[in-house]
Amino acid sequence: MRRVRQRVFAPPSLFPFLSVLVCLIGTLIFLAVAVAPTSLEKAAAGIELEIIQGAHTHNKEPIILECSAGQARSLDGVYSFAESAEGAGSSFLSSLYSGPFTRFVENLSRYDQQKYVLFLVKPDGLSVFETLRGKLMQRNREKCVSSVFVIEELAAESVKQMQKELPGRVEYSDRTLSFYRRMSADERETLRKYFSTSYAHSAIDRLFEQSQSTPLWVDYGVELIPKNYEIKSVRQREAPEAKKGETNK
Amino acid sequence: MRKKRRVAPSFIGLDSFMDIVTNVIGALFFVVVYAALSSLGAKGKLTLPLLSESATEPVTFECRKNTVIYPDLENFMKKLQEVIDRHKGQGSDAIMEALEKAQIKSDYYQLRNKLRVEQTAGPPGETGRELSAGSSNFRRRLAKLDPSKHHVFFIVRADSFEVFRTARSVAVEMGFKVGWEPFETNSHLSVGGGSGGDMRDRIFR
Repeated sequence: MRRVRQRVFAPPSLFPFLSVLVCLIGTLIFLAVAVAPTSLEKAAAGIELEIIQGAHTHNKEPIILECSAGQARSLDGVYSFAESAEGAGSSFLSSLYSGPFTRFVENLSRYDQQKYVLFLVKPDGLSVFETLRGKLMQRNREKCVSSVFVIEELAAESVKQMQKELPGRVEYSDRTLSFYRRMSADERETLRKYFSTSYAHSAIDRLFEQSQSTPLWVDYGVELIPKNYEIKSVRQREAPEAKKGETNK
Repeated sequence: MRKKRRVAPSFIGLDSFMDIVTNVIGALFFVVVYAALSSLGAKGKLTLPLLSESATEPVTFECRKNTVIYPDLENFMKKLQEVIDRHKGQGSDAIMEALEKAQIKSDYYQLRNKLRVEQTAGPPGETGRELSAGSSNFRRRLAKLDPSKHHVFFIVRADSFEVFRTARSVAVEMGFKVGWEPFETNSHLSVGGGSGGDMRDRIFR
């Protein structure tokens, strides 16, 4: 009787398949790491601007103007200011008081007291930023100031101290006191303590009254944006604990 | 003769090993992509600064050539003020002449043409990566200051917005109020003049 030879079936070896798979994954990771920096940098250049209301030490709402290549545009496209149009006056002085941006600032001061101008400046937008900011500062300093003659002479050290206590608000020269913005009752008390005569005190009271009728100061902010950044979208989010009480003075 | 029994070759099952390898590599791949995305995404955060004035003393740094330098502008201004004070009451021409003779300069600036503070090439500054390190000169200098008495002010050149954002976050993280002013890459600084007071007193909150 012929003996039947028993065949042994060996399972297929997975080594070649496994090595191909691991090599493939390794190559893919290498490719991803090599390609990721450039593609991700491109993706990161598109900034999603998130406005978290109340998350800052102020609760003012910004009107964001992106300054780039001679133009300042609001992100929502409503406002656009060309540098060439702002300097269109017949002289430097007249250009300070005319132009679309000047009118925009006046309207902002009258109707939107909780808003401020936030300049997003790109490296190629420095010139337009300086033009617009210059107009804004000039307008604030010339329109939102009240002055009185206080007679009393103050020592240089006291003036320095007073200016330190009310930074950016007060100037004193030739016995004349100038105050920028609308004065609060606390600020009036701070000013009074630097003077001893009753005439100076009543002059400060007059200054307080005067300052209440000056146009409102328009605040601004500046944020610097590297050139490869593109703002893609703006998102608003309410902070859990919104801070209150900030008013335009 | 005894017949040798043939032993069937035994194979190790690699299925489970392969599963583990592919899963681990897949998980690692996701981790790498997530880490890369989140680190780059942090760069995109924007703040909403509002101008304010500070009563604290400014300490000025400059972002130039995408590095941060310490121009010691406070000492420069002190020297300049000393010359002005020495010639007080002698008229503006005498003061200008004295300033020209004084040849006030620091590592990074030089007073020229009366009140033009012009840039000079000084020692190299610190890059964004160096700033982030705990031992950077920038951090060490800030560590010596008191945030309740000083604020940090940056002069930011147009070619250095990127490093400014890193330096600012380091200063804020160390508890300082921060102010900044952008300048064209090669422009000079001016002393005095202009409305709005000393720019170094401006901070953003």
